[in-house]
Amino acid sequence: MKPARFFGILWLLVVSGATVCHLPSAASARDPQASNAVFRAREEALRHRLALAKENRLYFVLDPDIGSLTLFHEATPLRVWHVVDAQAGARRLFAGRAESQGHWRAVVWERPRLEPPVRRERRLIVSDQVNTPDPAGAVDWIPPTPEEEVPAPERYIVHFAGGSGLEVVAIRADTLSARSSLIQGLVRSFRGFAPANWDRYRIRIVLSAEEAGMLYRTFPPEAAFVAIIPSSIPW
Amino acid sequence: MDAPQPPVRPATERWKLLVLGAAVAAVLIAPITAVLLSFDRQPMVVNGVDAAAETLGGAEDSLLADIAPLEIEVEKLQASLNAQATPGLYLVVDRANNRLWVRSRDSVVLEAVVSTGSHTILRESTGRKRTWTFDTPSGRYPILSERRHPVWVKPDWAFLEEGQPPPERVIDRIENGSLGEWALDLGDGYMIHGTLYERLLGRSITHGCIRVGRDDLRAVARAAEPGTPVFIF
Repeated sequence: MKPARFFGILWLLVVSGATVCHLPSAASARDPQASNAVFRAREEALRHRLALAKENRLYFVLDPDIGSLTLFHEATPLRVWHVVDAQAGARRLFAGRAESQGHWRAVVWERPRLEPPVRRERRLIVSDQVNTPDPAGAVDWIPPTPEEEVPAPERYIVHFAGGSGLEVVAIRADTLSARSSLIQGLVRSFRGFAPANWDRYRIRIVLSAEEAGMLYRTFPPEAAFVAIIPSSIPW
Repeated sequence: MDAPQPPVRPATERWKLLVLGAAVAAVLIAPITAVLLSFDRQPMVVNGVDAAAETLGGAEDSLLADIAPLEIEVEKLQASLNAQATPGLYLVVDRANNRLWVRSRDSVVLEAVVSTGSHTILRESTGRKRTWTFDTPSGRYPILSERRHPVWVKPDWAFLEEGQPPPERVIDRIENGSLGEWALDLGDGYMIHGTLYERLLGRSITHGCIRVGRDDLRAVARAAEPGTPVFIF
């Protein structure tokens, strides 16, 4: 076999393997003993929420069962985002599926950092320059809308301390063609080389484009994050 | 007779082979690296709960004995959490998206498009050289009072931002109608009030107050009362 043909076939095999590995894994077989672990994790998550409720702070709670991401202040729900889909995982390089399930259950993620960051500019008015031709002093200035001022990407990540991340995807970006999503998936995988993107564990949620944008613009800089086991008990 | 010697490749040919080999290796390694850096994702829903619900029926007694007290504890914790939530109606303001909600723990009563602080800095160039930053503050604030047909006593900045000197007499600062039909005081000069410029609602244009359209403001004033908490984030 000619070397070129050999390497070509080898490359195809490798790319095919990479494609298969990018498909979502099948769910693990149900383990009756897991029900005990589920209740324990649910109890621990509620204890975390009770502890957060005693502090004067904002925090998010992801409840995949009812499809909601809720912003709380103490124990008061402020705003609900409707989650279309939710997945959790760990980088294959580190751990794989066994550990990925453990890291988001009943754990509080802290110190969020939005990527890309939201940038807003401040306008400066100097009182004796108001009536000059300087546009900064114009009193009839019309500000942009929130969408114009801070256009939200269709996919963004909130990195938390400890190597955890919350990936938010607008539903439009989630339904791209298989070929383009594979290419973009490979590109994003390589972006993982950047130290700023070095999440070990990640939860991925899909929202409508409007809600994903609103979440991006408003994500509080010190908010914590808790993901809870699906529960039939309403929050 | 000497064995034939293999041909000696010139240096340029060796470099070409080296570069080609590196390129081939990179192309082969790239997908493998991509796979290793990718996430092994699984759905977060259902499995655990279904396992819990379905196996309870046929589960061993020992397993049931473990789960039952856990289930009770979970319900107690949930009830404790729910009891700490703010009772009755309260207001929520999203500054980044210029939205206001009137809601309770379980439902949203009203959603309104509003205007919040413009993030503008005003600097006084002469005299006391003061600086104002027009942000809507975040936090939890109780409504201190509700005023109908409020009168606005314009502060110094309202004149300075128009290039005018602030007047000495209070009567020269009074402006009727610009705050709309209602003003809900939050303290430190911040209010939820109406506006003459409803076409600008949805934009960050205020000096820190929260401007609401006429009809929504009436609904907010009906739903709220002194003591109603306002959460601003």
